[in-house]
This record gives sequence, C-alpha cells and structure tokens, in this order.
Amino acid sequence: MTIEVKNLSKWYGQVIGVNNLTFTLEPGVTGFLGPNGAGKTTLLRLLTGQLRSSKGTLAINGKRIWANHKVMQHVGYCPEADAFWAFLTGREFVYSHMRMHGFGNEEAVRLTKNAIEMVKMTDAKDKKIGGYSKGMRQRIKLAQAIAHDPDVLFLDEPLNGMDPLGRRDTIELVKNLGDQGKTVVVSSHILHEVEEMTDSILLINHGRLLAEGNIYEIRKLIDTHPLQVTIECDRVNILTARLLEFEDVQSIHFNREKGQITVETIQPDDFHMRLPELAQKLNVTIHSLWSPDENLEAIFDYLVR
Amino acid sequence: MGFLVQFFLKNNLHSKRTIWMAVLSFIPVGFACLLWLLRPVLNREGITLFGLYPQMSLLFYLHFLLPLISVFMGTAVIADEVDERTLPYLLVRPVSRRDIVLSKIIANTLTLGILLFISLFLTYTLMAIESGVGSWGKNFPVFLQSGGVLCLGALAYTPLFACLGGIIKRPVLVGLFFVFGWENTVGVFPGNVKLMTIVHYLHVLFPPLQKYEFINLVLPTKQVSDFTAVMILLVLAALFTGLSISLLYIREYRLEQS
Repeated sequence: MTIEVKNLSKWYGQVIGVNNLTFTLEPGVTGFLGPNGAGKTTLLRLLTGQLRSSKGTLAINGKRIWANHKVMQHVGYCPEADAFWAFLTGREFVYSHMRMHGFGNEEAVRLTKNAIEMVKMTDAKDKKIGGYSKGMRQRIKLAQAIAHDPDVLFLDEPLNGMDPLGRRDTIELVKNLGDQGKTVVVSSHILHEVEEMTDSILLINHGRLLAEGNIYEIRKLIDTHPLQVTIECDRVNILTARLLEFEDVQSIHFNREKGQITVETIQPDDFHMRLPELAQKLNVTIHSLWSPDENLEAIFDYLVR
Repeated sequence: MGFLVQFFLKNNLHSKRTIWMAVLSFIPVGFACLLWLLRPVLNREGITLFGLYPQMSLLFYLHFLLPLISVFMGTAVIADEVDERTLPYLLVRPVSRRDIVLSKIIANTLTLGILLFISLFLTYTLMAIESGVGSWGKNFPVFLQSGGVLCLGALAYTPLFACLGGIIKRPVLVGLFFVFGWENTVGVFPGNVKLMTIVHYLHVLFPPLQKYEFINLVLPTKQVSDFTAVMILLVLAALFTGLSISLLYIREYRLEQS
C-alpha cells in the first residue's frame, strides 16, 4: 500500500507541528528520524487520522485518513505513549483490540495467540499490564499493532525502553514485515536503531523534511560526532571497568545511585554490537539503554548546520 | 458496538471512580439502616418508615446522588480516554467515532443506572419491609416509578456531561456547579426559568410527596404533563448524545507526549 503526503502542514495556533511536507512511502520499511520535538509524532498522528491537517493532503492508497475509520482496516499503530487500560492482562489487551477490529471471538483468540508469540510474550501473557516492565509493555503494544496483519504499520519509537534482546527481536520483526511487502514506518530519534531496520529514511527537524532517501550519506556525517549512550544495569562497576578498555569510548559518567552509566563513544555502531556480548560475558543484566536527548539534539544541530 | 459496550463496562467495573461512586451510593442505604434501628421511636410519633421513603428518594437520590454521580460518569466519557492517552488505540481501529462515543455513553449510563438502582432497591426494601412482605409488594410500583425516573435522569445527564467533558479541560468542577448551583437553585425560582433545568422534568415524574407540605413548598410546581416531561428528557438525551458524537468528528485531541 502507498502513503501519499502532499504539502502537508499542521499548526497548533502559532506553533508549527509539521511544515509543508511532501513525500510518498512505498512498501518496505521507512524510518522517520529526528530529535525529540522534531514533529515525528505529529506526523504519525496525522498519518493515523488522530489529527487533521491544517493544509495539504494525505492518503493511504488514495483514501483520505481523517475521520475515515474504514481505512483503518489496513492500519496497525503502536503509539509512543506508555498508555494502557491497566485492568487488562497482555492477552486481554491484544484480544480486545482484535474484537474492536471486528473479528469474532475465535478468530480474535487465534490472532492474539499468534501476535503474542511473535513478540515473545507467551510466558507473561496472563499477567496484568500494570505489572509489566517497560520493555514488556512495548512488546505488547507492538503485538496489538501487528496482530491483524495490517498492510500499513506505524511504529512510534518502538524500541524505547527495551532491553538489548528485545531490541534485536523487534528489529528482526520489523525487517521481516518490510520484506513481506508491508508498508512499515518507524519513528526514532536514534540513528543506529533506524539504520538496523532500513536504509530508507526521512530526516525531520523542526517540522521540516531535511533529507529523504538513503541513510548512508547521513551516516558518514554522524560518524565524526560522538554519541552518548546511557546504560541502566546491575554490576555497574564491572561493566564500567571493561568499557574503559575500549578505544572508541571517550568518557564514562557514573551514577551509582541510579545504577546508570553514560558512555561517550565515537563508534556507536561497534559499541552497540559489542555491548550485548560483553554484558553476557560479564553476567551483567542491562535493564535499558538510551541516548540522552541533549546529545541527540547536538547531533541534529550538527547535521543541519 | 456490543463488544465496545462490554469493554467499557468492564473498564468501569475496575475503575477507582466506580468504586468511590458505589461507596457514595450506599450513603442512603446506611441512613435507611439507621432509621430502621430508630423505628420504635419513629413509630411512637406515628411515623412509618415507608412514609419517609418518597422524601428519602427525592433528597438523597434525585437531588444528590443522581447529579453527583452523573457528573463523574458523564465527564469521563471522552475526557478519560484523553487523560489516560488511550484514545489513539480506539481511533486507529476500523470503528466509527460515533460507535466509540455511543458505546461509552451507554456503558457509563448503565453503570450509573445500576449503581443507583441497587442502592434505591436496598433503601426501598429496608423502608417498606417494616409493615411486612405484603406491604413491600404493594408499594413496589412506587419504587419502580422512582427508579425509572432516576434512570431517565441518568439518560439525560450522562450525555450532557459527556459533551462538557469533550469541550473543556476541567469539566467536573463546571458540572458540579451546574447540578448543585443551577439545577438546584433555579428550580425554586418562580416563573418559567425552571423549565430550563433537567431536574424540573424529573420532579414532574417523581412519586408525589403529599404528606410533606414543607418540602412541597420549596419544590417547583408541575408546569408540564408527564408525557411532555418524558419526551423532553429523551430529546435532551438524544441531543447531547449527538453533540458528544459530533465533537469527536470536529475536535482533535492533542495528547501529551510521554
């Protein structure tokens, strides 16, 4: 399915959310890349019919999106917000979505089971979502988005808060869906995450489309700029000691109280590849890792300069 | 739409708001228990418990619990999904916005109606059983009449406050001001101003309070027939339901980003 956006703008009063965007998305995975506040979420909300455009048009397979519930038959959406009906278990959450989608009981049960297996949540499916870790909540959100086998999938920061294993599984899943001919849109503020899923990106900042197309050109620019990565884990001391031995690691900031370290690396790709292996070797459990926003802002400022 | 109604009913069942409202709705039951304990004293004064039922149902249910709970249940129709940031899950499904709002209004009205009906039934039973099971059965139509009026009230108030919840940021405060300010004050004004309140039409349909002349003095006199009152309440319910639905087509809800 094709998504067409023409001269799309969205204003919130005097504030511009997105500014005169024109692009076409074909089947396969496309990354929306930009720092927090760049307009990615606004764009996804416009594409999923939650917001109405101030100017311009947007359509999925030629059909308008705003207040057109029929087009949602083909759409899956994983929102960024960590929001749930907390009384539900993971299984009930996905099942309820399938029933809302119009499937009967038996079909909804089958689709729910499949989706939960796909995101590897079978063991925790009958626990209340309120008791899930952030990574598990991300997985179950993803399950409700893919369960009905949509042709178009919008994933807003799907890797946020996931552990390295969860990230790897989700990246594989997204790539597979793209290979199956689905139109998958993934938004992220972390370049290497998007890069692992696709080489096709839209670079967005301040609501404007800065670049569109192949990721490698942008990658070359970023490689010269150090990236900060914050890791939350147990056995912080042991991990820190080993990370200091890496040549690409320029500095490490230590927060013992929070069990966090912030590493500055000039080779983020290598760093991210080495980290899971190292953690396994040292028997360190990584709860989550992310890049601090201010560092990403700096990278994007550097890029658009 | 059936599944959505079920889903929202289940959601209500688990919400802290419903639990609090259920606790509140049992205040008159507690009061009826107290009167039950005091009945030797009341009987000596020539007062039967059932003689107090119309007054109890009017003051506790029609003027206090119905408006109070309907403010909380009504304003939650749209505002809850916005505040809890669950609205996107509903909007990005092949379900019409009309069905989403309608299902939620039905679920919240049912929750409100069930809470009031159970509480009213217990109060009625405590107050009517004093003179035996025969009296309980004989007076049952009075209970059905007051219960029916409360349900009609729920039907009119819930979409009104759903509409309010879809328009303004802090709808509960405005709703409370409306029900305990406007509705309760304007009703005692002379003239036709009282026709602009919902509670007036509910009064028209409520079981009469012939014995209690003092209360009758402050209650508005009937200005419309029973049929007209029912029709006006149903029209108001349909009107505010329609407005609430159209809000979801007209307005966009900008959810806070996490």
